[in-house]
Amino acid sequence: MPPKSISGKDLNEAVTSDDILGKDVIDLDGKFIGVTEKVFIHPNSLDFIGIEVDKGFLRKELSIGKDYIERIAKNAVFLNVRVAFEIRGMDVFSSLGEKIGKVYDVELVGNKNEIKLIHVKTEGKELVVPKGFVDRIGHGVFLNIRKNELEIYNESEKTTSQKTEK
Amino acid sequence: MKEYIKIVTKEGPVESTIDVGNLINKRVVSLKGFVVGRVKKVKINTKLFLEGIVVSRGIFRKKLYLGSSYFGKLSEEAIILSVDPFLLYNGMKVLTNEGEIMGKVKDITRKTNTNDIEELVVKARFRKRFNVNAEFIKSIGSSIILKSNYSAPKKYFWQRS
Repeated sequence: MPPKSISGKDLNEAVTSDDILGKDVIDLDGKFIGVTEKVFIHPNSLDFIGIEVDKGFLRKELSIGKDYIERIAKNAVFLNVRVAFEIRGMDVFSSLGEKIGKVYDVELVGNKNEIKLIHVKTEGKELVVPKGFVDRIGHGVFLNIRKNELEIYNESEKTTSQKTEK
Repeated sequence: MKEYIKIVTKEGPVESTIDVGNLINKRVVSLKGFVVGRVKKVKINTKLFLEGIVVSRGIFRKKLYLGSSYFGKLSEEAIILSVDPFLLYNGMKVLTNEGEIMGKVKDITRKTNTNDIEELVVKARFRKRFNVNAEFIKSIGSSIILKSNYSAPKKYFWQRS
């Protein structure tokens, strides 16, 4: 027997929280991000705002806004972006293919999935890479400048910040 | 840069060339940034054109010969390819358009010796090996996602093909 309804809408096409919770979250690149743990709903508008993803033991949860969700499929939630935080640990290459180092931190623009700065660890040093220097991101991060140019940029940034402090 | 006594006709400036010797042992990086291996040999043809490179991928792995048409960028620091070699797809998870894990890539059939995939051989627990034609591949990234029109064979290990 079908359940009684006073929704005034056809709910056959709708998904329920049960359909979302516990599902794998997969980003645009096909990477497994985690498992949906919470569903966020705005208290006044009652709109669906986003989800919280459990990324595994000892890893911080990640909340993802609904604008970054492409679709909720039968077995997974697909995102329409690559999660910017996921570039941590990736190799960074210069425009010539020189290995610069590894990404160890990412700064985003506000709460958006937009990279502002990438912190790269290289041979005991730490280099900062602004978004403008990033050419493309795949299994690794490719920059559009050479290694020595990046080092010069970082040196000049350091001197400028030291001058401003004085 | 060394100064040379030049004997040339219509060749480009020596300054814009790359010393092939310097390429040996340099990294070979795929389009998406996966380190494929290191250059072991540089092959030129009898007309003196660069034909390809032999890439070492580690002690127990077969060497790879990559044709120059797959080179994206050549520098004395590395060779960046214009593709991701098909070998990188081995072991990748294969997902349906609904996010169901079909299995992992066990083998890849290619069109002759090119990097173009013809079929993927997928294997999962309790499921027989099955082939997925390249036309059903939607995207390849960290995993392979299939198109919605692909219907997976529901075969189990106790069933005969």
